[in-house]
Amino acid sequence: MRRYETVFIVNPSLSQEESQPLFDKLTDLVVDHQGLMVKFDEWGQKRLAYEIKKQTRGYYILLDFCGNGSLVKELERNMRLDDRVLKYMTVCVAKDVDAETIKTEIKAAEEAAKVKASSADPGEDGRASEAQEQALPGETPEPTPDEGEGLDSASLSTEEEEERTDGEF
Amino acid sequence: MASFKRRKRMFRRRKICRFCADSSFVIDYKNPRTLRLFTTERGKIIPRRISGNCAKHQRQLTTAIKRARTIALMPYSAALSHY
Repeated sequence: MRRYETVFIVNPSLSQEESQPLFDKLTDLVVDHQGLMVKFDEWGQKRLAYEIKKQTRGYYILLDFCGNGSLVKELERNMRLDDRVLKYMTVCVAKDVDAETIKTEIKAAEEAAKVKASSADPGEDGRASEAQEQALPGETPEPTPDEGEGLDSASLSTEEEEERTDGEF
Repeated sequence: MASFKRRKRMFRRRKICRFCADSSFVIDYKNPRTLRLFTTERGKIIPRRISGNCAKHQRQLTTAIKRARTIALMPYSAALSHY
């Protein structure tokens, strides 16, 4: 069995009632074809980098599943025929996976989510302490991802400029 | 000419592959924010000789950026006003 990830974009103007049957249909398809649904992740509305079918925004959904080629073929056929789906893309993540290990993985993920939900109940405190814990082990204060990225991009752009001026000589 | 060359070399910083240096910095087509650091503001992929990536990670990065383009997370080409 192979593990796939399908990202598809649904028309953002659809209401919950309109899009839910489509999601149900696709998840049912996975089960019908001896597949295994790992994760159904709704990313929500995002701006598209370019227009697709005259739309500038899209509702993103990630399907993480295991199955074989015929399942992917059937899923893609359904998405192609459906007007509600603007675009889709399937990526093969792992070529040979075992159904049992995946099942245990799903269970572990579910339990982790439960623990997170119960610990995060007081509010933002849970998250804040987690972040602190992560920062503590290293002696040097690590920059938060956002800062790091900002710095990195700045350094990158200066490097780029250097190179460009070099090239002109 | 020779002196000029030497001066140029003095200015050049040693580039390292940032994905090798930081293992928490992963390449994923689903995360366009990281990928965006390796594209120009026009949306072109920055070459390895400029970004300093190693060959392995540059290959992974290229596929990731191309995948992100396919599902409209990143532009194929962008007007400058988009940024």
